[in-house]
Amino acid sequence: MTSRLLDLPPELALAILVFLDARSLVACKTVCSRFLKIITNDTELQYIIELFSVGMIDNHNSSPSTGTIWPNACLRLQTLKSFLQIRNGLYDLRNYSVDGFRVINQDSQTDAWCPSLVIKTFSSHDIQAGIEGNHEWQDGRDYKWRYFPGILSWKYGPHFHFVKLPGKMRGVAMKTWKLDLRTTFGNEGPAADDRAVSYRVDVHQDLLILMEKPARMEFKVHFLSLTTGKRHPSAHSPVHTLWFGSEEAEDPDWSTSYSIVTYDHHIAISISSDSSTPQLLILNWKTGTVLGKLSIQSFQMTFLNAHILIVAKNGADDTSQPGVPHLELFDLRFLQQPGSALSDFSALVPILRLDLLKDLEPGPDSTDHYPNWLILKTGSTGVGTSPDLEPLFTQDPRHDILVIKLRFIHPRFIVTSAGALLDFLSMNTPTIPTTTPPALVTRAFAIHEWPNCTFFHPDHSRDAPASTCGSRLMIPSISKTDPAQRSFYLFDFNTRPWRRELGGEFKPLENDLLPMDFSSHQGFPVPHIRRIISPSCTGIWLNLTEDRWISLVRGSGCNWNLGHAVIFRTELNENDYGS
Amino acid sequence: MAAPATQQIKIRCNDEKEFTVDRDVLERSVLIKNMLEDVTEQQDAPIPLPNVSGPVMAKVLEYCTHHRGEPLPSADTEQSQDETRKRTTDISEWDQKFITVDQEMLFEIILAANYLDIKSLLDVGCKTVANMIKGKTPEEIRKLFNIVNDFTPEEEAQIKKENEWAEDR
Repeated sequence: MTSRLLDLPPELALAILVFLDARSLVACKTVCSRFLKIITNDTELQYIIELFSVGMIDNHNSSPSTGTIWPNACLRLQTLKSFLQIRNGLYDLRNYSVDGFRVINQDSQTDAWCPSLVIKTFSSHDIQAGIEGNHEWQDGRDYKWRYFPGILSWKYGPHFHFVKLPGKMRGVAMKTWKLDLRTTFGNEGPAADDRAVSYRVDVHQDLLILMEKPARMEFKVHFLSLTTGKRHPSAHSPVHTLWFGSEEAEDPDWSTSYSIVTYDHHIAISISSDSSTPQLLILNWKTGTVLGKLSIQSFQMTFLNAHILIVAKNGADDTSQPGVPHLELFDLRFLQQPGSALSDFSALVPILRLDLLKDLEPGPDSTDHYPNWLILKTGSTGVGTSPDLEPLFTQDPRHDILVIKLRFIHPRFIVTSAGALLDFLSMNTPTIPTTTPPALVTRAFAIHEWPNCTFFHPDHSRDAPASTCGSRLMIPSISKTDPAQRSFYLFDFNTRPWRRELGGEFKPLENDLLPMDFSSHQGFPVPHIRRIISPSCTGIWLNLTEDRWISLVRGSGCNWNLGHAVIFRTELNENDYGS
Repeated sequence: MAAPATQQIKIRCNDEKEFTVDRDVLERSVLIKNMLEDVTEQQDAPIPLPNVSGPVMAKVLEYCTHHRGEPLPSADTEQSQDETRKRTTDISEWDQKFITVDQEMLFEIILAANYLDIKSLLDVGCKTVANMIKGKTPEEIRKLFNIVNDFTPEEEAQIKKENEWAEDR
């Protein structure tokens, strides 16, 4: 006996299938090859399945009363696919959403644990990971998972559990393992999982940072290999001991909040409590040097690159006055001073402050003001002015993706790249005044402190007016004796150097102010550097030769910390633009 | 519907079985309606319907008689109705009872409704089959409709893998 269903002509089989929901359609695909063919070849059925697979609803406005008709399924599928391409592209780079974990057999709204969990991803596959054995889950203890880019982890008993999430882009398989803390801390003393007050995983460096608090005011930071649990081979020392607070002060309740972020050799540790000033400590774990200790009220922080640390703040450091949520960007190269390892760096001024409510909210007539910033809002468009801002950073530096999640009345995401933020840094300067180009002059400047010089190109177009064309170099300069005395030097290679006081306008640089005649400058040989790296432009190498463009040399080997920039310009002609 | 000139039409099925039916009942079939409109003069010869058998035609006529007088979907509204009807597989009580037949008859009715171009009946049939499929596993669907699984185990595993996301949603 043959199947009457399969005997139907294709158009009748299709007439039946259009009444099915997506789940039944998926079941039908596995019934037989004929169904599979019909379903995969029909645009409308594909649309139903794909719409369902991404959890979306077709929000059409069609109704017989209004007379409007749906665009056909082909068009809708196209729209859906183009939208998903953007969305998946965005989230695949981040791989997984930090919001996307849910625990099996538990209310997904709670953070409560049970022995297995599903990691919900933006791409359609969920990942399931289990915890070995049948644990007695005790109430009132913190079993919260922590998510670090690419790694999900949690503490249980003496063990650290890790789940390395499968990398869709790179085809890395999922891997789970656990580390026994007793190999690090030994069996003595309190339970091992209580001793690790905080931790951080950096999957790219195979690094597990454990913070232990063995005594009053004292913290021990362990640098371990993420995979073996043993001492990290790159660490200067396996344990770094830190002291916070002063001797006479009471031991504050440090348990409130810890935050550790890493970028290559830099580690920033922030410790805040209700009863004392929050501390931020930055150290180089590969050399063992402490770069600085700051007293700043920080909620969240992240490294933008190896030098720039972003700290999100809810308001002013002076908590007596209401503040505006903002981001402050600090340049760590200000901290690299010899012999000042634990001095007070609280006077460090941020190189840029971004008001999150104002600066990042494009006005109605400036929609393209921040072309590199993708601001995703969920919920209504109302942003509100709630001070309960809680920015959360998610960063994948290897993919140059930075996501700042802001919780207003409705959460929204700011997705940008570190490169875009650096561009923003250099471009967000006042309009450069135009002037008549001077004659070609060879110049040399020596500048003390040029921690963050940035090349930028206001306009790459060859058709642009000469005044806006060509490369410029911006160098912030800071006085070590008075951090408030900051200025920016802007060198426009078309015209002449400009100088700007903090908050002021760029003014033409007086000849006697800083530039020196190259021939009269002492202490430097004639620069022979043929290649430079723009220090704040990650990944951009500028290949310049002294006879074609500019040469720039930083200091000399003997006095690295006292930076000197020597810039001189030789023949420059129009043909060099944009090359 | 008290049409004074209720015309009687004769039809003949492929098994020589003949029916004499009121014209307005038969005109629920767009196929027959168009045929009758093409013929201006009275004809006594029965309309041959070579694709429909007697028992099936009896069922179809039962449906048409019950729904006689209801407005036929016009060409203008067809487009928008076409979309809205897909969202629901609800079937009215009478239709539900009417369509409770064995599978053989069900598919005969679908084929006849398609041939005779009776859209509402075709929908009832298709919705019924769709409802039979809904919520079933592939194996249950195969068993129900006597379908042979023609996938190799590798192919089946591949398709299952692609569709894992649909589980537990």
